[in-house]
Amino acid sequence: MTYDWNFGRLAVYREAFFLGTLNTVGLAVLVIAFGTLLGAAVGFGLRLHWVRVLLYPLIDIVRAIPPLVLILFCYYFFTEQVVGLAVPGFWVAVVALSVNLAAFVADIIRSALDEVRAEDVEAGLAVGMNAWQVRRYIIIPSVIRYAAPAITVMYIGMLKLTSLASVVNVREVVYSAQTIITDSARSLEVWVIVAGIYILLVLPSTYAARWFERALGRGRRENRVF
Amino acid sequence: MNCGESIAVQELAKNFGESQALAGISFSLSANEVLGVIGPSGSGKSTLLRCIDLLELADSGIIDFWSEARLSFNNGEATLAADGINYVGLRVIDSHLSQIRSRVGYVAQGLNLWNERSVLDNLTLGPRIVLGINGDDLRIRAVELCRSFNLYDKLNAPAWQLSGGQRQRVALLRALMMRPRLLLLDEVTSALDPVLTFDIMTLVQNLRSEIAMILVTHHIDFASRVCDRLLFMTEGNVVQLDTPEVLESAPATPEVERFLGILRAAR
Repeated sequence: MTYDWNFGRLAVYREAFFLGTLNTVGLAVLVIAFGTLLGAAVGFGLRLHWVRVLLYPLIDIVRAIPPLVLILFCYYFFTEQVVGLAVPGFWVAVVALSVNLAAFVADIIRSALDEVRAEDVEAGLAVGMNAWQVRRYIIIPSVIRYAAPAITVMYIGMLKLTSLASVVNVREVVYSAQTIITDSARSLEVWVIVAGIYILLVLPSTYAARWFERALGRGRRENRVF
Repeated sequence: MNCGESIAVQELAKNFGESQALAGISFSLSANEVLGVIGPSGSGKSTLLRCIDLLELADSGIIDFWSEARLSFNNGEATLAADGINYVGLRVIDSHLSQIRSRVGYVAQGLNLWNERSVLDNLTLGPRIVLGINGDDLRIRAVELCRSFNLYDKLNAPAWQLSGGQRQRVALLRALMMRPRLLLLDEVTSALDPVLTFDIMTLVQNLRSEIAMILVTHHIDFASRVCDRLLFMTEGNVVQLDTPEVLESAPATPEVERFLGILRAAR
């Protein structure tokens, strides 16, 4: 092996890596926030027959489209010529990835709602809770408990999928890496650093998700076999 | 209607599709009365309790709650027949129903504890949310009750960890925490050993000076000892409504006699 590893050469790009990481985190946070809100709204709406009839085909279609294709489509759709307004790449990525996340979250919420025990709801009504209080104190906590494991997996996946935004010139980590490579010609070292950045972002999130899940599941009845 | 009455049920009927669960039941309950409901499985006993707690809206009939709210039912919709003020004829909305439910304690056959919540949470959530009582006061009362019902060491345990007897006590205490004016108990002594049955019996007897109760039971000793009157039901109808002594000494139909015989043999 004759390759001459030289990480020292990349020290000057510290700031570019840092800004890229900030953009990755910012993008992920926005996508997770919007995607969850939209997905939860749709998921609760799916209890209604006409919403189901209208939105289920749409959800299935969105889920069938690769996120990269969705981003590129949105990039060429939200332009001066088509919608009369040029949307910056960053926001195009926020929209496209949020819609993608929402489609999955909606289905997870819908199935979590099916898991809510009728007995729990009835016990709430029996002590005199009104419909709103039953939703707030019985249904939503149960939905969070049932949906959390699947949704946190989606979040962590989404953190990595933000790298796709580089194709529409969003200056996140991967985009920054590419410009640094052009400038420094140290591809291997750059990709090692990028991988390291993702590991540093994802691992704490994974552990936090696992902790959160355990905290929620502490009181959960399990017919555990193993 | 005199002020001593707790609730009065008139011609209450409820169908589930083709099957008739209640076929026009009438009775009234005085303020501190304990009424036992007995009868074979599927005779409509649980449906009667669920209709009184407004968890099911009856198809027809009237229920008068403490002469304060008189609800008239028509095909799953409730209207105020009289409420002492002037809302007569109005469709009863969700908040009216929950207001009445908050004053009627109901312990379901399946107990319906919030399994993931702690015992303390099970006891305090209702009064905190519905009655708006301060959390500290509730905590004190819940701890007191748990102490006197041998649940103190389970205060912070999630409900699913409890044994059958403990679950039954928590369900009862949860209803009592709301300080109900009427308590509906659906087979609270089922699946309990004799010691726990005795505990529940003692509890019911201690409560009788404070609140009216309707209890569904197959436990004839329990029923005879704690109930002022027994209501025998079959196929959604009241067959006999009398004191336990009269029911035993002069059963209205051969069916009542046979059923009581079986219950006595089984005890």
